[in-house]
Amino acid sequence: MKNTKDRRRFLEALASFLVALPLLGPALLALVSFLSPAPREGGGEIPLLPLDQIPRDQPKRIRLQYVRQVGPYREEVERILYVRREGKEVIALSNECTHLGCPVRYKKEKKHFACPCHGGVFDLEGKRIEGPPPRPLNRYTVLPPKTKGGPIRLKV
Amino acid sequence: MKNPLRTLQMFLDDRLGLPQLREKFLTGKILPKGSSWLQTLGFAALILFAVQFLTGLALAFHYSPTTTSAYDSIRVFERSIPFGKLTRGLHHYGASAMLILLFLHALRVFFQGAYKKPRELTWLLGLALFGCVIGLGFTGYLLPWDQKAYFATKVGVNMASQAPIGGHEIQQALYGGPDLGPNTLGRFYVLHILVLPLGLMVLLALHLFQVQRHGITPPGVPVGQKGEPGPAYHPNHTFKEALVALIAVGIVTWLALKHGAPLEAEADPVDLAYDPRPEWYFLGLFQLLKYFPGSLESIAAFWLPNLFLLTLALLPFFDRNKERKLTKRPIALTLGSLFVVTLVSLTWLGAQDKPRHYRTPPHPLGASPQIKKGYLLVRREGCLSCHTYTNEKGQVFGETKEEDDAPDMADFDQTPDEIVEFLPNPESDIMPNFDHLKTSERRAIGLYLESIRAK
Repeated sequence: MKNTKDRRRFLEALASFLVALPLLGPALLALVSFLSPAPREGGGEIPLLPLDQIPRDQPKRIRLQYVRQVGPYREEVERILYVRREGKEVIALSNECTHLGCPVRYKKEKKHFACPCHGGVFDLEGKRIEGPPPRPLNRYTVLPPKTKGGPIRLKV
Repeated sequence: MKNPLRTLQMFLDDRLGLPQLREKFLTGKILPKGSSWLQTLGFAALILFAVQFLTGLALAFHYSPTTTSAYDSIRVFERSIPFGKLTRGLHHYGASAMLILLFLHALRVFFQGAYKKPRELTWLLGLALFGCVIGLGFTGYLLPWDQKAYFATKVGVNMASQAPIGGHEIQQALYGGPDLGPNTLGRFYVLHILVLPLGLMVLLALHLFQVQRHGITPPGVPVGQKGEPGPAYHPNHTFKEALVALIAVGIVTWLALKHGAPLEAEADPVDLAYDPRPEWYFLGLFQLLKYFPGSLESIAAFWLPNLFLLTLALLPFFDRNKERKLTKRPIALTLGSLFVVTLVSLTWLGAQDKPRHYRTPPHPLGASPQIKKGYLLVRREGCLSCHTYTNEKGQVFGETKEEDDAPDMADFDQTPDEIVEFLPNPESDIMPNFDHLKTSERRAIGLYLESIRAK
């Protein structure tokens, strides 16, 4: 008697599973789609400024504008960055605080970048001096000019 | 100490009353004698609706309902999102499978006389559900914004405008503007992902509520008489339901993997080389329209389909024959069979009328507006009616006759500037002059040609 009951319960469970089975795959597909961001199409280089226009002591604030393709969209992107020359190197820093993304500002008198949100402070090379940020400011990859006297280029 | 999981289960069972629901709707339910495989079709359609819902969700996360980006969003989805091609394939073939299953389900109900008293409302709700699914098919295929999307929708909406009263208003409401365009796409998107699925779910709840209330029709038992008890619903019948649903989803998956969903060239209202054809389930209607010329057109486009629907809706009310056995229902048997034969023949005839169209190789994703313009010009000027284009996968676009001897577009080596010079004066006996094109247009063509061969 107990055997018959167990058998029936097993068959009920099996039938329920089989009913749900064709939906497992599509449910997974929906999840994968949700978890997959739209792809960025290609990378680009944008010409910035000729070397002689980039200051050595104080960083120069620049508004960067370019068009990029993300998934089906052509996006107009605008970013703020600070460029400065140090020795032979050009340092191009993003103004996004690495803590939570607030825009850092350059304080001329103190020669550092300060975040207006949670007190993060970075030095001229973007290294953290104070506050909660876990990493230095992000640096753009700078490529040398293609022609002598031409503009340096940024990888975006 | 008591098992805490067991305690939680007892708590939920008591508060939710699940065991009683289970007993009432699943394990305690007995189907009438004679219920078998034919009674599994509606359930399989329901499972496919769930598949459509889930795959539709996956598509919606990446779809962009604007005329400038819809087509590219589909291309990105298929190319870059994991299982994108499979997902869209499932959604495409799932829609067809659902229609076929619903059609067979309706035929079962008709030939077994299951629409008769007391199940008149179940039948009417079923018809409304079928309407929703057709609506989903119709609104869904505009969304990729390819050639089929554009032209089949135009034809479909113009058919709706044949209504003797309010035809123009229906057309304007569907277009959401003076003509088929961005507004239409937005509207169809809302209809497809919100209005119709929601309506379908409400109707479905009512339909299933009616099925619960009146039970499955005992096959062959006349109206008013009680049938004998047959198999238990769960698990005996649910095994059959699961198997049929699994087979249906299996076939859909196989088709999706093998063929993928078709995507034609991006919609172009002025492409004169395109022969529009509807999705296969509208081919019968498409064929029917050919038999009614000119002034009689509204008969095929409006009166015949609508009178037929009205007849179906009123069927349980004027068919007073109490018998359910087919042998005792000669009129229903004759008319029903005649309808099936007519529909299948019309669909088959419609499918014989093969469209003549060649695809133009798509411009690269994220191409500049100039390259896109060049792509459109190559289509409009009909370059591929003489030239072919073979891509790096060996896929050939266009058709060429041997005597034309026109080179493959992948072998062109001219720069855009050389194309600008070449087109108005090809110095060839066969190739026409394209001197009606502006310099900027010729340059766009040159840039497009460069983009499809530059690798």
